[in-house]
Amino acid sequence: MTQMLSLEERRNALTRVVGDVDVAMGLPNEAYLEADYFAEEKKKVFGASWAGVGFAKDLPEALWVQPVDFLGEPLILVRDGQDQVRVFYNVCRHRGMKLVEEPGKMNVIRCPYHSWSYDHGGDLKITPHAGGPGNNICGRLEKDVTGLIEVRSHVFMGVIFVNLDGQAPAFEEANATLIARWQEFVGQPLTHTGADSGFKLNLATNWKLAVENYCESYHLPWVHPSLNSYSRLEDHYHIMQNAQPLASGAVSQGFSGQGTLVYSPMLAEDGRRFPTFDDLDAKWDKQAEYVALYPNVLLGVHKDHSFAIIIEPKGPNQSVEHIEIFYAKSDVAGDDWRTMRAKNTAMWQQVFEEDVFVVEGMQKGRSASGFDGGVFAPAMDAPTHLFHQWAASKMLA
Amino acid sequence: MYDLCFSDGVLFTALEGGDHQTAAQLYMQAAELADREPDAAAFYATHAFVHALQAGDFTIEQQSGGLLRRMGRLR
Repeated sequence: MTQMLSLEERRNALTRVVGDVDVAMGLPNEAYLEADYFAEEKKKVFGASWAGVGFAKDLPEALWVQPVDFLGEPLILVRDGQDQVRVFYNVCRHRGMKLVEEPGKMNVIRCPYHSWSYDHGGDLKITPHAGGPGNNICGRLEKDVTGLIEVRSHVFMGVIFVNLDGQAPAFEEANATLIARWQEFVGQPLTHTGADSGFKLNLATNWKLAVENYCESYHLPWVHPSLNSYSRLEDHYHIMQNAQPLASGAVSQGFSGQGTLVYSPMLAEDGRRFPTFDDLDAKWDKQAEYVALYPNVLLGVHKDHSFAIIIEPKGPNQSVEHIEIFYAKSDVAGDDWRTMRAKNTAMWQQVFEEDVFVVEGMQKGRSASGFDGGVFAPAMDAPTHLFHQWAASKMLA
Repeated sequence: MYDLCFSDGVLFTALEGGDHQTAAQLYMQAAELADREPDAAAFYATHAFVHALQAGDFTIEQQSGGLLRRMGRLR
């Protein structure tokens, strides 16, 4: 049974979401089920924000090119000759051929159709025979074609973000509050140790439910008994930042999540610990924070490692979580840390897998046509409601 | 004359195998041998240039690009 609403019904439903947490309702069912709503989110939610599309560690050296498809948009992530990460649409300016199918180091980005060739800055190097056999000059092409179409991009905490519509404020401006909050971590070198520090989860759920679940600590005692053994519900606090008007007239990116005051997992029986980031305040000895940077990046910081999760929306009810763990020191890549790395990855994998039945169960529940979006428990669900407010506001804009 | 460069199938093998370095060298040789036939020389130099880009062979890129520019066939 379709859960589609009329435009007026949708507006009314979304308006109820943006109210105060003690009276607001959650997003309507159609927001989780309907292809039309999902298609509109691509433009209004993802296109107008800074969305995570990949990891900088997947561009291991200069001239590396990584194709990705994000919400149906073919992109290439590129590390240029100056070691800068850049993002372009993965399409030739000539006849619209997709340029790159497989990742790898490439001296030039050559279209397989007519061999139009681009450098890693997106500039055309040659349009072979475009002016006739042996003549590579064509006035119209020289005038009209300026090279690959670049997408605004920014690397933060190991994640490559893009702004597809090109209208969002600069990443640093849009996310100034989070950057200030985590200033001790931002810019510190991150070590990724390869396949043993990442995993992927395929979820039969809408992307928003994965974000919502990450925002809150309310479920921890019930869903994560292993975490609860050392990090009780009362040891957690909310993190909430509304999207705020900026001096430029644009609006900042919102985020919400939770922190813990007692992060101290025991990964080695002899008490050995991973080396920590440099120059951290003493509060980080026990504190850790987990933030959903809207729309689709989930971040966690600890004194000795961080992680990033990119939620890749595949459809209204399909998402993929790409999880990568980054360590504070390059030493951790060594063999003598292998066992602890494996334990750390296994610990996080267990936690995130414990969430799967929850996010998939909430997705199944959205098929109940009588469900009205649900209510929020004001004391516990405020970070989740903040995300609902943000997502609803984007759709109302 | 420049057809000799391709007669033994070396070029075909290089193209089939994605050996851009060899392809760039062979096309550049053909371009140089075809100096009395500007259209043919430019054609081969164009291919030498593209394969040199792919191979990261700056020398042949410069040679073929220089030839094409002198002929007014490349900016």
